[in-house]
This record gives sequence, C-alpha cells and structure tokens, in this order.
Amino acid sequence: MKFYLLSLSAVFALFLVSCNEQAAEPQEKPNGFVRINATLQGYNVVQPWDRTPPTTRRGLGAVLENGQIITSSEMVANNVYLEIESADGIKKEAAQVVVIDREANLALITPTRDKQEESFIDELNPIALSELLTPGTKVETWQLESNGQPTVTHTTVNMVDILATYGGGKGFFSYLLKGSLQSSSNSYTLPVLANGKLAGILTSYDSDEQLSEVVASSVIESFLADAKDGEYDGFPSLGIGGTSIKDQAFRDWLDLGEEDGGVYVTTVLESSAAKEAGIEVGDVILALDGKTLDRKGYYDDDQYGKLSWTHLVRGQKKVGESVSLTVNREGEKKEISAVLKKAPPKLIPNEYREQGPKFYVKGGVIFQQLTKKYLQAYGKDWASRAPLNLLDLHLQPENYREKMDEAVLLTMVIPSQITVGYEQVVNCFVENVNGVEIRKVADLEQGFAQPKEGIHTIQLSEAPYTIYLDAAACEQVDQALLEQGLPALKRIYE
Amino acid sequence: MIKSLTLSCLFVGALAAQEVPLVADAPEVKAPLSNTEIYSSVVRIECSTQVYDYQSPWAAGRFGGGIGTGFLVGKNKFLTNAHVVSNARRIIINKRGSDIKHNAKILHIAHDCDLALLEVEDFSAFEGLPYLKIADDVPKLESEVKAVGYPVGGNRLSVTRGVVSRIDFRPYAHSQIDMHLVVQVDAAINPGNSGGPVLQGEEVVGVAFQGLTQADNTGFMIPVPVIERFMKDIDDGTYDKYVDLGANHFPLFNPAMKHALGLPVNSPGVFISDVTPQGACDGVLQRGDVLLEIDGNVIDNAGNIQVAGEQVLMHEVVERKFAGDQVELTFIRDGKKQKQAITLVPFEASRIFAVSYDVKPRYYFKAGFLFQPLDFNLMRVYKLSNPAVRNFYQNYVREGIFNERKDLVVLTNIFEDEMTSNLSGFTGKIVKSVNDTDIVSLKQFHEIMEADDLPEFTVIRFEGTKKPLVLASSELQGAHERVGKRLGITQPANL
Repeated sequence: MKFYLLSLSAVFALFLVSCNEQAAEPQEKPNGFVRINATLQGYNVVQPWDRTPPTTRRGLGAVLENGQIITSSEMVANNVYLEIESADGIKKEAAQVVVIDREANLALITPTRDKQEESFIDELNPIALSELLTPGTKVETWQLESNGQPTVTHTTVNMVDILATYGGGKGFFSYLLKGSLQSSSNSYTLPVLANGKLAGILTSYDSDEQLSEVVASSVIESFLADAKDGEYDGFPSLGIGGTSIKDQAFRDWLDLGEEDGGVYVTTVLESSAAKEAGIEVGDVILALDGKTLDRKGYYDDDQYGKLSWTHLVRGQKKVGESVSLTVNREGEKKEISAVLKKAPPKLIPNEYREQGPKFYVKGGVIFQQLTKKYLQAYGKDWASRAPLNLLDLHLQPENYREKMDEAVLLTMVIPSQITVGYEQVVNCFVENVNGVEIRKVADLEQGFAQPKEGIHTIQLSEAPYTIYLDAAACEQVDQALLEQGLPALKRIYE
Repeated sequence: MIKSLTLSCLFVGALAAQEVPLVADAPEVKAPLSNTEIYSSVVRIECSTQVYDYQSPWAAGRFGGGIGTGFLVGKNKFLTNAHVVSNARRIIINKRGSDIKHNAKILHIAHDCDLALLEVEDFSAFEGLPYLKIADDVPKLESEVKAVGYPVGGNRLSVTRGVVSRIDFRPYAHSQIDMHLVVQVDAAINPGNSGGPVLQGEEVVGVAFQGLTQADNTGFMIPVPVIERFMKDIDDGTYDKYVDLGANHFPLFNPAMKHALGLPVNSPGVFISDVTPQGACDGVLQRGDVLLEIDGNVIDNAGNIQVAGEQVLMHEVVERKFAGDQVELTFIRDGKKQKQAITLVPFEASRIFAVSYDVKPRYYFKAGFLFQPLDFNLMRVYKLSNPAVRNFYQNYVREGIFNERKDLVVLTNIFEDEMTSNLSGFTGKIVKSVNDTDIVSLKQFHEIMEADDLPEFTVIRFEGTKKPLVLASSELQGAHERVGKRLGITQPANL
C-alpha cells in the first residue's frame, strides 16, 4: 500500500535540535521552501457538472532559480484554490499553476502577482538542481515544523529505476529511498536534497517497506527546459507497446540471434512517432540510438546499469528530436529513424483535463466522454466489473479509431416525461445524432441543432440502437433542469 | 439466489383424510384416493453421481450423490426433477415403507425445464399403486396446496402445507438460463423435496424444485403447463427441447419513439432490437420492426399479453409450443402492417449459456497445453475474466458467431515443463488461428495440431492478443509425453 501522506508535525524534539544546528549556520537567507495549500475538487463521475466535496491538501514546494516553485502534479491537480505559505506560516499568498505534467507528476507554480508585484518568495534562497545521484548517496528529505523549522530525515538512495509514480503509467527516472519517515498528517510532496541541492521530489512513501519514491532532478530539468518558452510540449514518446521475448521457440521463429535481445512490438499507436516512422506490430526493436536491448527490454546504462529502454526516449530526448532504431523485421535487420512526438492523445484518456469532464445534456439524457476515471468508478475490480463494451474499447482502442476521436457515451437518463421507457438505456456509445456522425463530444451540438420534423434521432451502439426525443420538449426539460440547479447543459472544449 | 432442492421425496398424499379407507385395487378406480394411497405413489430417489472436473477433464471427476423425490404418473413412469438425476451413475428408487432398493434408469431428461421421467427395472413391486393425475391448470392464487416428499430432517415422508403466493415467469436454477412459468408457494420446500408432487386434492398441481436462499417461506414448483409440455414433447419417444422466438424486444413506452415509428400514441406493440441469426424469426422480423401481435394476442408496450385474464409475457405463447409448430406474428415495418407465420425451432447454439450435465467435458491436451471449448461450465470453473473472452461469449449467439465457429477453443491451462516455462499471458484466451488457419471447432483444431506435416514452428494466435504463441513443432511430442506422464493423462483428447 502506498502512502502519500507525510507528517508536518514535529514529534521528536531530538530531531529538531539537530536540524536546528545544521540548518541555522551556513545560510543567510531562509531556505527556499514554501508550504503549498491546495483546495481540490474533482468531478462527480455520474453527474459531471457537479464537483466532489472540496478537500484540502498541504505539501511543500521548492523555490527554483527561475523564481517559480516546483511541486508534484498530484499536489495541485483539480485545484479550485491554491496558496503558498511561508515556512513559518506567517505569510500567505494566492498562487497559480504555470505548467502541470501528470505523467511526470510535476507542476510548476507561481505566486499570483496581479495585485502586488512582490512576493515573500523573492526573499528566499532558491535551490539549485542537483546532479544525478548514484545508489548509496546520502540524501535529506525535508519537512517543515509549524514554527518554520525544518525536520530533516537522512536516508540513502537505495536504487534507481524507471518508475511511474502517479497516474499516467509512464516511467520516469526515479530514486528509491530506504528509511522511515514520519507519516501522519497532511503533507504531500517533499523536497529531497543532496549536498544542499534539489535531488528530486518525493511523491510517495510506503510505510510497510519504508520505501520512498522520488522523481529525479533530471526529470525536473527536462520539465523546466520544456516549460521555459511558455509552450509546454510534454515528454516525448515513441508510441509503441511491447513485450519482452524470453521464450526460445518464439525467438527462433523471429529469427533472432542468440546475442539479440529486443522488445517485440504489440501495439503501434495511431499518429505516433513510431507509426510515422513505419514501425509495425511484430517488429523487434533490437537497439535504440546504438544501445542494444536485452531480452527483457533493458539497456546497459553507463552509469546506472540496467534500465528500461523507455528511458532512452523519455529520459534522454526532447519532442522533435529523433531516435535511431535497429529493428528486426521478419529476420532482416532494418535501421529506422523516428522523430519523437508528444504521446498521441489516448482514445480513453486517464482523466479529464483541468477543465473537467466533457459532457452534453439534451432532454435530460446525459452524454459524456469516456475516461479511465469513469471506468474506475466501477470500483477496485473495475477491470472486470465495468461494462464489457466499455472495457473492450479500453483494451482494444485501435478497433475503434476509425469511428471516433473521443468515446462519446450515453451515461444516464434523467427521468422525465420525455424519457419514459429509456430509463435503462445506459453506457451505450453514441454513433449518430440526426444524421450527424458523432466522433467527439462537440459533434453532439451540431447533431442536436438539426432535428427532423421535431424529433431527435439518436443512434447507439447497444439495444435499442435508436432512441427518439421530442425536440421541443427537450428544450423545456433542459430549461427546467437549469432552473432546478444544473449549472450548465454542456462542457465542451478543444 | 435460487438453489435447487436436491433431496427429494415421493409421497402422494390424498387430500384431506378420508373417512373410508378404501384401498384402491387399481389406478383406474375413480373413487377418491386416501392420503395413504396417494403417498404410496411418492417415491424416494437415491442418486449416485459422477461430476466431471473441468480442470482435469481426463480424470474421473468427483463422486457424490443426493436424495430426491419422484412420483408415479403412469405405468413404470416416475416423474422427478432433472437435477435430482443429473450426472447419475446409479439411480435407486425406494417405495414408501419398504427398504428394497429398486434400480432405475432415465427414460427422458429435460435440463431446460428441470424435469425427468424414470423407470424401474422391475415394476412388479409398484403394480397397483395409483398414478397421480396432473391437474388441468395452474392453481389459483391463495389456494391451498401441500408438498409431499423426502426432504432433509428425517428419512420418512414429509408433508407440508401452504398457499399459492405468486405465479411468475422466472429463471430455472438448474440450467441457469431457461425461464419458464413458476408457481411460488409458502409451504416449506426443502432440499430433498425436489421432484416431489405439490398437490391439490388428489391432483398434482406442480413439481417442487427450487427455493430461495435469502427469503423465508418461499418455495417454487414447476406448474402444470410446463409438466404437460414435457409429457407431450416426449410422447413421440424423444425430447425435442423448448423452442425460442429468437428475437429481443425493447419496451415501447416513449411517445417520441412511437411518433418516429409512425404509430399513434396509444398503439400497442414492442420494438424489436435484435433478431438472432438463424433463429426462428430470422428473415421475418428485423431490427426496428414493431411487434404488435403474437398468435392473435395483442402485445402491450412492455411485451405482455393477456391470457385468460392474466397478464403474462408474450413468450408464454412460444413456451407452450413445440419444435415445428408455427406462430403467427403481426408487425409493423416502415409504417405497414404485416402478418407472417414463423416455424419454431430449438436453438442449440444458445445452450452455450446453460449449465451442461451428463456429458463428459470435451478437451484436447497437447504438450502441456489444455484446450477446451467455451461454455457456461468452463466460464464458471475457470472464472474466465478476459474481456475478449467474455465479449465472444456474450455475442456468440447475438452476433451469429456460432455460424462460423462451432466451438470457441480456449487455452485453459499451461502445465509446467521445460518447453512451457517461459510462456505466460496466454491462458484463458480464445484460439484465433493456428499457422494462419482460423480455428472453428475443437475437432478441426485437433486435426491441425495432430497433422504429420506441421511446419517447423506452430504459431497459435489468440483473440485480443497481438503476441502469438510459437512452438517448435519438433519439441511437441517430447513435451507431450513428459507432461502427460506426470499428470497421468491416458486419454489426451475427448472431442
């Protein structure tokens, strides 16, 4: 079980004393740490116009040399109010997100300087990014006491790995720290220092194993470099899915040599870098940029030993750069160069974006974009409990790409006199409305603008396959819904 | 949860106690039967079973047994539940008050309506016992009934009383998918009552067969129409099974939907949403039709018809028919009213959704791999959860997959061996092709795999998975012998 909550409160006086001594001496300015208080509200899965009850999250951020504050994306995602607070808790200022990357679990925030030009963070000592660390290096995990004094926990880097610390499932260069941390109240996202420099951001702590996961400084560095010009591209992606190839008969069939390793390509995402470079399902990627991959998909890193091949792309490249691939295709070796892109949007995104889930209401019939979050609402066993047609789309999106850009789902029918008989129609994909093909939520608007003879005709993927609504009555029902407190009848954005 | 009542008892009880203890000397005697006489025709059935193990289908399986009830309905004809004598190896009938065990066998068994007819090797001991008469119709709501049988709690005959609480159309637990008329009574019906008569006077109004685990005072019996249909079906010497309309409907309550379909607001009928390929309605009905009448009975917007003043599902019309019978459908297509007769047929493909009994599971074991055709039993035993498999299963009939693929062959297990040690991610998936030949049945799959001229590599592809399973054909035989020996498999296939 992962633990994201780390304590802020001081418990051990001894710690406090030793830290005082350590922290007080060399610095003239206070350390570049701020508290971040976020009020977060997600969205109701069933009623996407509603937000979930607000929760607050407190964590830390580090002031960087560019005057902005780095923290985890988890800390600020879906925030409705964000503020920074001085370490001693005396000064507070509103803040805003500059860039957020949920896959890397990083966010850059800045004080909102509309009203006052100055911020208390200008007085702080910015923290420089550290060089990459090797296993065995001593590091300090920083927490703040309520009086502003730091609590520092000394641990060592146990190992480095390519880990997906949060959400997106994409691996980034991370440290695993071994050692116990105080873990009680509200504190997300702790800075980890090595020799006074920022080695990374601690994003999770497992109290059973006493292992912390830390997004390394190199990932932060790439994130900052990307965000610098004000246009954030995101981390690059090749856009393939693959499996390791240990089975001997399979290797022989692929005509792989004894010394060859490689990754067997099982998926090539539409409009991805790999697709555009001509990589095909069934290819075996033997090497990337000259680094050969072993049978499990690891390459030999000069400094860190075995690391996942994905690091050669996501950890070492930028969007727009190219990577050279050595590929085995039906027994022949090919050299392929791929220009890296941001990962193409998933047909079923993990989450809705900051704007909230896309939805559309007509006559009390609720349409939404299908997200993984929606599937996950089916509980812990969602992967087997969610409706089969939705799971099929989730697992085999390539079979649906031709028909849709977003999965538009009829998720609910609010009972009214015009939806009589449709109460059980749920979780059907919407294919067509009044003759307009529905490829994305926004198409609904166009479709519903043209009822025929006063009737909306909605074609669905499941029985009864077509439902009809009285167009004029729809307007009345929707008007009534607005009067009853529905804030809006749609949320559509590009 | 509905559970079958597997203990059953056979006692025919006459109605109220008789003043005149007239001993019936022949079943033909018209004088009222005494309770004792009636009970004497209710027998205890002892069944020893052998249930095959789908996880090691080559093995003998699990031996067990149970007790149920049956009753005499004709010369050497004992009626009971199918589930009392399913998977039977030996059936013994005990006459009331006698310890003689009479060997019996199944004459007819209908798993789709949970009824079976048995006969004993030597009927002489039962000669002279009255044959219980099946009543003419479903008993009235609230009328009193009594259940007679050999339920748990003792060895002797038990009689319980109650009233008819509900008449409904419900699933039969034995096969899991079939739905027929059931009558709910509040007489205690317990395991062992299964197959026993539920009486009104001296007439049988039902066969006790299942209960509900979450409710008290609810027992269910198979009512007269279902019993009669079974008896009539086997008249010609074979049981032809129930027939099916092969069409799904959607309620037609919505005014805009009616308007769009060109119907007046008060029009009856239901919307046809799916027509089973090759089912009885295939080629007659199509999606989007509005079904108005079935055999002249007007269908309401929920899909009900009125029969003798009672509201019943329109399927009740089909329920009472037999293979080869016709049904007249009245429907509207493109605003035009049409009338057409369809011929009803049993629909074998849909048995994939039913629990199967009495049949040794089919399988094919090769070189450490176990392949089995997908059916309800397999889904349940292996808890197959792969969405691709569940999708195929769910759409097997609806999308007509059965037309091309007689079996969906599933790789259910990979047994450890040096050849299989690096293989993972393939179990629980449906075989799509072998060496680029699409697999349509277990038999065909077996033929391909056992061919003398397999290519150097045997490449098996699975539904929903990109990576194929590749085997060095020359190594198959060695692995086959190693694993077969270890598991003690003497028969590698049952096709």
